[in-house]
Amino acid sequence: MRFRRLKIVTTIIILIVLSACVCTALVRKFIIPPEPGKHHGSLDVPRTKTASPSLINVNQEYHSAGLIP
Amino acid sequence: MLAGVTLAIAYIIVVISPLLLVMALHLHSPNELLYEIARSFGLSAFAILCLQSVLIARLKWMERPFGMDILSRFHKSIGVFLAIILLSHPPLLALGGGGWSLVTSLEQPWYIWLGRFGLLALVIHVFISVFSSSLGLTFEQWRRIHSILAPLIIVLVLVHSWETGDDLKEMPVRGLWIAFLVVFFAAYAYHKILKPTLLSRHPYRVMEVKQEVHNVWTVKLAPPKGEVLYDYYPGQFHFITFHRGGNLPVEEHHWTISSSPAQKDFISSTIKDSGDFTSTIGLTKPGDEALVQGPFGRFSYVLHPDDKDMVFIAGGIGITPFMGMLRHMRDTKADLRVVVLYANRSEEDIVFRDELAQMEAGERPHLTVVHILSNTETDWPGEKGYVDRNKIERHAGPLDGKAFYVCGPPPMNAAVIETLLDIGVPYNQIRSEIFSL
Repeated sequence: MRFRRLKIVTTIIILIVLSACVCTALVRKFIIPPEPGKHHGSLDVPRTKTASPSLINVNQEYHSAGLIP
Repeated sequence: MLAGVTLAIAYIIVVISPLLLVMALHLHSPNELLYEIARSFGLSAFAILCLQSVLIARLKWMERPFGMDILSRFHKSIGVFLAIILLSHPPLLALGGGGWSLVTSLEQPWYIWLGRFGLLALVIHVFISVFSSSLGLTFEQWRRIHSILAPLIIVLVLVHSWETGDDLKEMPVRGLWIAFLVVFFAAYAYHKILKPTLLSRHPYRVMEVKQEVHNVWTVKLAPPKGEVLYDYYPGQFHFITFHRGGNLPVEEHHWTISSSPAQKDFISSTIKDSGDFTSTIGLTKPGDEALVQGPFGRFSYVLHPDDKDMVFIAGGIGITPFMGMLRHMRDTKADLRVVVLYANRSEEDIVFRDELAQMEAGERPHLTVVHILSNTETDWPGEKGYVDRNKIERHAGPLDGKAFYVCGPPPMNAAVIETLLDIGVPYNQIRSEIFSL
């Protein structure tokens, strides 16, 4: 029946999209190596008060690697 | 089947294309995982959002493998999914180290506010679409709101992601975003402007308006001068916009084609007065103009050539696609066996009663019509009550090799399909269509 098939296909598509989102996040964080000038995301959202711990860590990491002054 | 699978795979590839692109560009991100997932949601959500207009642009090549009702349902379900992943975008960013000020603070830059407004508009949009009938909105009111909110959401989300997203600083990603935007507005413009303009240059003309019963009319339409009728399968539907002058409303609605495609001079729709716009259908006059877009739908025995023994279960005005099919069987002298279980409230609600009786008396198709009335207070000698297990088993006969076609009000459709499954009819032998798009 068409509607049963639609439910199955819709569920599969949603699961694929969700998996792709999680996989992309994992790949970008753990597999793709950081390159100077190619790190993304740390400045995505403006922190109006304080920088997030991750941003501080990244800056320290880059600083110690001599990538930023 | 192959076209449908290809389109489904293409849809998935397009939706995840922003994710594939940022990975292909080797864009590393040092943030926490939840933060990254939120960003991935944002990226694929924009692709989904832009494809929403393509799904419902009435593109023939897209509609043909699935049917408009399936595309419309998919559009709705994906819209709900879209709202969920976009609603989870800000809290996931916050949980992933972005800080809760992102969600709670009023002191945010304008592009964050655009994102908030876009999200709010999307939630309202989805809510209105899912609960339109509970909210008492007419089809036309709902469609107007839909037509305004959709491009607004796209623009708000586009500017938000363009300004906020670090990935959007990469030219290839920007290029992809522009491509999505072009696709959205091309589909939107085709559906809302171009196609209606083209149709208005070739208007159909009302030939006849015939009252069938107290609240049902059949409107016959002649094709534009010098043109032939478009090809269609019996049981399909089309969209009609009547231009009748005076103060009569000009609205587009979809109705089943009740004529037979073997009849080449006219095309007809049988329309029930269900309040709102349809209450004016009896005021339509010969000579009035009508813009017709079609055909659409996959509810037709012609698409199932193996169906030789069929049971049509109709409720009220749900008889119209069956009438188109039966007329086509009669006109083509199809050697088919059909039992029609036709449910109505009372005797005066039975549409096409005489014509059905004539066809029953004819040779082809081999037709048996069983009228069932739910108003049990009358002295009706025939079947009374609803279409239930007992009546189906008694009238349909052995189930082996039979195909069941169901068309009626949604609660009736659901109940009948459940009954059919209970008595052992296989899923693939039940055919139905959701008429409300």
